[in-house]
Amino acid sequence: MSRDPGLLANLRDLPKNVWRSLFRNPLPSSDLGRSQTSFANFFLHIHPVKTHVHSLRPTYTFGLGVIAFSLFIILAASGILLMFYYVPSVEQAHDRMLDLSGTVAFGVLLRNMHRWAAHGMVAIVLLHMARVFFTGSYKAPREFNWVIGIVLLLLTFFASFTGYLLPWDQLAYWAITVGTAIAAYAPGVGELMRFVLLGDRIVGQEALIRFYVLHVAVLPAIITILVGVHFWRIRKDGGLSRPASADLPEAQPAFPEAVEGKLEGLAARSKLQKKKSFGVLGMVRGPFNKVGNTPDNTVYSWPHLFAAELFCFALTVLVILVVAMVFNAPLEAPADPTHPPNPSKAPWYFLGLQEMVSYSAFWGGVGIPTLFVLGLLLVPYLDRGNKGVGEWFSRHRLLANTLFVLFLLVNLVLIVIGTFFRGPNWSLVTPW
Amino acid sequence: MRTALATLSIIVLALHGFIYYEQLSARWQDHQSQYFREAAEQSDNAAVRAALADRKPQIEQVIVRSFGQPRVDRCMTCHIAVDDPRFVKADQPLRTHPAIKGHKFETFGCTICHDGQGRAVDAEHAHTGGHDWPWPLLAPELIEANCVQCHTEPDWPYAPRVAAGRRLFFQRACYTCHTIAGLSYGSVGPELTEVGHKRRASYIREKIENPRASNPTSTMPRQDLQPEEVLALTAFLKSQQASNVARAPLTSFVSAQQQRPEWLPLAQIVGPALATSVEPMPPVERGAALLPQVGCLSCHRLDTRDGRVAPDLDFTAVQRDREWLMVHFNDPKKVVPGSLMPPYPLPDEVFDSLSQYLLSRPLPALPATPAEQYALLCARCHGDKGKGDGLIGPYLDPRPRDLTKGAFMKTKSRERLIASLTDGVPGTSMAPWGKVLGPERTAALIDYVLGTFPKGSAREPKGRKVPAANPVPYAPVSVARGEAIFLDRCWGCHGKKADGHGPNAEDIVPRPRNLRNTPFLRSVTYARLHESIKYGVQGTAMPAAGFDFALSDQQIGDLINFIYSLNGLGAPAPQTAQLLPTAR
Repeated sequence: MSRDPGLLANLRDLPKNVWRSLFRNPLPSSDLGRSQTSFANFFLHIHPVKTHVHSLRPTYTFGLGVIAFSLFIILAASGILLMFYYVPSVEQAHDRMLDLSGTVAFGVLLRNMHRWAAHGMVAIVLLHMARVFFTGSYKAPREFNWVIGIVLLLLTFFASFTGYLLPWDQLAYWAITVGTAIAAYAPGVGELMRFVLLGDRIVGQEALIRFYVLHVAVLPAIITILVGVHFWRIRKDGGLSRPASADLPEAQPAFPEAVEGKLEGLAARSKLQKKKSFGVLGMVRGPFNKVGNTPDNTVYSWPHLFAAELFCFALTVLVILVVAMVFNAPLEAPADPTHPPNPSKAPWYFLGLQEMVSYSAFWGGVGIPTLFVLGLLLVPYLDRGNKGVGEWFSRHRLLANTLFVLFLLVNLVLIVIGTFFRGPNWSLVTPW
Repeated sequence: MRTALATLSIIVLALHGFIYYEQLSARWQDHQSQYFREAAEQSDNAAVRAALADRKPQIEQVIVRSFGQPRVDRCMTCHIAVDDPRFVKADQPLRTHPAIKGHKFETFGCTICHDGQGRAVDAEHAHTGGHDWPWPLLAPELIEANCVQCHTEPDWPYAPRVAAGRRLFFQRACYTCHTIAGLSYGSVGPELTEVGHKRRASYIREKIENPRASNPTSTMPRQDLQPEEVLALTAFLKSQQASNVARAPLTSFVSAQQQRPEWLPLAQIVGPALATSVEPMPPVERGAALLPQVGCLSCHRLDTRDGRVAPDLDFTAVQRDREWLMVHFNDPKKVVPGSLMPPYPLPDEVFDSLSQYLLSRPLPALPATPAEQYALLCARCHGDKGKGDGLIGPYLDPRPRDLTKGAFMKTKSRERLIASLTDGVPGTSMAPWGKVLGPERTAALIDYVLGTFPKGSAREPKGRKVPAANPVPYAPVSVARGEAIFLDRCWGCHGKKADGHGPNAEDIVPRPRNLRNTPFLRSVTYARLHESIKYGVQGTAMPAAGFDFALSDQQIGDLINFIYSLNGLGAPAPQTAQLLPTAR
């Protein structure tokens, strides 16, 4: 215990001490410092102390997961600011939109950012899923993280869908009317599901308040928790997937006594299980400090991983800002239940469904989407070979990748048809 | 990586700076500063000048609570000089608004008269309202439409354009198809009670000028209107907002719930002055005075006026009789089931006057040669080249026959063609022209048509065996068998309702026959129906069911019994042509 230097000295050192109590570690200059920076910071400690170099290759992940999370942060921040102005009432909602888009400083920018980031998040999450599939990263031991990812994808759809109604304009009103009508095609529970969602037989005040609560409280909370689990599982499953060739060739055990059974427990495991990356305690504070040139092809997360993540975040912010400044989020006439536009279209990511519904209500609206979701959830349990993991379009996974490309293409084509080639009465039109 | 990250961070920071500058400096602040400066220059009072120099730009707004839902009008944020009389000659947005007695800005705001989006404080949002806003700033010539929301007295003199539009609404027969609650009860076109509230003035105007501009399947006839008439109709329709801001919602509700009357008072349609002046006239003159006023000529032709949508009335005198005209006035679909003409909401006395006037008119002189006769009498529907695409062809159902189709024209006997021209074709717009032409000229005209238009050859019908009467007696069992065959073989073109609108019908010219056209079926002999089904109709899409579907004569009899049952024709099957259904 050091002696109290006295009030004056304390006052003099106040800024320095406050700074030090906030940031416990100075900018690290040693490997121990780099470890502790990750380890002792609440926001950084979900990361591993060391990251495999293969995970840092931009062309392996394209940063899609980080970009999706960045968009989620942008959505949360802009959404909270928008909540200060928004009133979920059918009388006021559209007027508040007019205020935001014409009068409130930053209002139109925040609304644009929120709208475009929402569309962007749906798109990026889908791309992220495609990346994980094409690199075979859902294979053991990462099956469950894939399942969480699919649930997050569905939650993203639902969050975007519930937000779609809030402006209470014609676009919103009829998109939700169409979207919930698709849900009602489910046999048996469909009508009930729709009623629970809308609180009424038609989209009205009850639907607005329900969608609002789901959009601003329930769904963001669930997404936040599941995102946490999603991240945590990456570490538990040994970091991002990578091919066996990315690791250094197996070295001779440095401690023969561990192999011969002379060491036991934690000590033995920390010797033998080289690839395990969660032994932070053992690494930093434990008896065998592996900090140094361990032969496992990893680098310190500070600064390599954090700089890359920050770069993705800043890039996302930049793109969203520019898009929000150039393109205004659509706002149509106030919702008018007696005057449906022709055609009424669901949000773009559901237009594939709407297109299928135009052929068969049950199969398009319920049957095929259910099969899609079940298929996605079960992929890691049906495809259990362990070849071609960690490699884009591995030739060992030709069949799986081809099927998935087909799956994506079918959905993409349906969405493009629904978006651009459907006119009044859902008849085929040419967009040019 | 570090350089990239640093560069990116600097760009994002710079962008933030730009956004802050852009969002916190708005045009309205410049307008207000300019106003304070100019007002100070024009003032000779030092205290006023000092006060103006101290004023900082701020958002100005009026919350209007007197008219329905509260409105927030922020227009004066830019138009800050509206009530400052010194700025009469200034450029917008700093111009003085002309004073209107009793209309204070604090009570009325701006959008109650001008429309526009009052909440916005930038010009684009405020004036156009952005994407799809139904109430952008009204053009000055249409502002009357909003005046009459409160000034509802029918003879209010300051809205001449709305009054003119109202007259045109009746004169041009709009009222016969469209409903405006409390004013008209047409059921053919969309209701217009709220059209001014739901639609932009530009949309209304476009629809009047060209009904098919935004809806290619619209059957609304395109009216021949002067630009000023279009403007007047637009102003009148823009004033139809149902939820009248000055009226209690209850009165609107009650007026909307009013019973639909059988006919409208004449005074409402032609104005009280004309209605009173025609009262004592004899029927023929009364008809002459009313005919141009109640809307007939916005579709039909008479003398020099031509609505370019419906048949010529010049020859009605000899073609039709009073009974036919009265039935047709009350419900045109009774004699021509595919007619576009709406039933007129007028009292029988008016129909009687109109009929008597039409029947009293002398027949126009006929030209000498068949070619000239064709041009005068036939080309309006069948077209100059006989292709069935004349001026009013598209509005008729069934469409006029394409006279160039050799396969059809050459397989029909000359006698049958002469009969069609002489007696007309009941249930269609083909009128009995024999009464106009007389037998010799009718035959000469048919020879002219046969010699001029048909192209291509036709297979000669030979050895046809057609029973003269139905081999199957009319009975419910036979009708049921016929229905089964119909639902097996015929509905694809003729439709499940047998109204000629089956799923394949869209692509077929001429259109499949409407088998519920009772006047037509009543006029056609059993043998002709049987022949058409058994051997098909050349030059049309009708196949030879007797061969293609291997239907026996008995089955065709069943089918025809089913068709008769749809039209209440039953047994015994009629053998002679009857022109009219029984009078009502």
